[in-house]
Amino acid sequence: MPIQIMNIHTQAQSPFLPGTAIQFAWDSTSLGLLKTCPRLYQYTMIEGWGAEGESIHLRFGIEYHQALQDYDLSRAAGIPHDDSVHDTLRALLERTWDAETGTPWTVDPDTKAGRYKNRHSLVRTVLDYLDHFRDDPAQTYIMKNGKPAVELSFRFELEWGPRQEPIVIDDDPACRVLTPAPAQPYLLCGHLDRVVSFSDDLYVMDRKTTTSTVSPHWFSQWNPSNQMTLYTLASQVILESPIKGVIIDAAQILADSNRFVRGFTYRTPDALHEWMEGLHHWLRLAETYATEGSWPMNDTACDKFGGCRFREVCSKSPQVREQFLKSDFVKLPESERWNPLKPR
Amino acid sequence: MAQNELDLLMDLDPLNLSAADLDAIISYHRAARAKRAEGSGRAVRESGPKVNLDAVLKNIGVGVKAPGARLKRRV
Repeated sequence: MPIQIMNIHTQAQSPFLPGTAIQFAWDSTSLGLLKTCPRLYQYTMIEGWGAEGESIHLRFGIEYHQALQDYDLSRAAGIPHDDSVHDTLRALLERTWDAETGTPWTVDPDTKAGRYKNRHSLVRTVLDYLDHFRDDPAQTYIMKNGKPAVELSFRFELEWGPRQEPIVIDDDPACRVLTPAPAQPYLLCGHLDRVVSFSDDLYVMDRKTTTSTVSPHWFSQWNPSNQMTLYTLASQVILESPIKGVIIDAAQILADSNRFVRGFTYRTPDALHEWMEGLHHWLRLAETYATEGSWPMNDTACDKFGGCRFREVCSKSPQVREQFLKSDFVKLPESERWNPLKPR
Repeated sequence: MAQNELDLLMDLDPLNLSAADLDAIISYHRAARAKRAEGSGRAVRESGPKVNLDAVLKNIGVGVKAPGARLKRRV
């Protein structure tokens, strides 16, 4: 499987082929949308429908990850735990402060999300995590270039790309049909939180926050998992080293405390190969949907992950769906839509 | 430090927070965590002796019947 690591661009280009709905740059989020339900993918990726206002879960997750990344970099630079915690929390407080209005990041405390995920619980969760894993046997891997493997953005080409329209040469007596080689190969993109060395093996480390109970059942969602398999594959490409799988550090956010549980998910080379074969089929399917301009609804996935946000819309008659989309969602500007090519 | 003092510190512009203020925020959360851990430990210790269910039922006059003969299926 020849693949090539590309330089990361600084500006976000469109992940779609110009003038088409054919996506050539994919990450685990957009691929997950397609696999879950092509209609969910259409509404989110193609048409850019999104919820009005900021997602509490998204902001909380971004700040949590940024804080842990700050800490990891600080520790990799040899700064002691307490000083690293101090610097990490100060930066976190500053990021969650609106200097223009002179107010902190606030959420609606009457919603479930706001009750559990707010600025207070964010500071508490970051501090609790860092103290909980203070003497962590999983150590940040130092790459061959001497840099710590923290918040690694990846982007690599696959050996195939979207199919091009066939060219029919009319004046040819045999009326030959030529299919030109794809000009744009598919790209796989994403971001890895961290790569760690643990018990003489390398793992990707991914941190999750949840308000659900973290149990063996909760961990079972990560195998099979589109995201974790892609992360394992990508890390092997980036580091050119065998990676056993992903360590998942789950933070269960409770009303006034946290619970941390560490889990492991492994991928064999055969499992990675199988995933790549499946990816080929999925991307060809996405091309077909885009060419036909029709993304069918997977009506067995509507109750996944606590219920699809478009469930109400999809439950309406097709003639009135657009009206319901417009009343419940906003069409996000290009810059705010999910884009696998957007740099972090 | 009390909860309302923490709230006051959290509502300050972070650029105006001194190192001592930040230490106070960290100390508050660590102390709260220790207190919760202590509380959960006490709850386990104070769980008390096991209840003798038979004796309780006897005292309140509820007898425990012996299981009856199994029903025979009649075709």
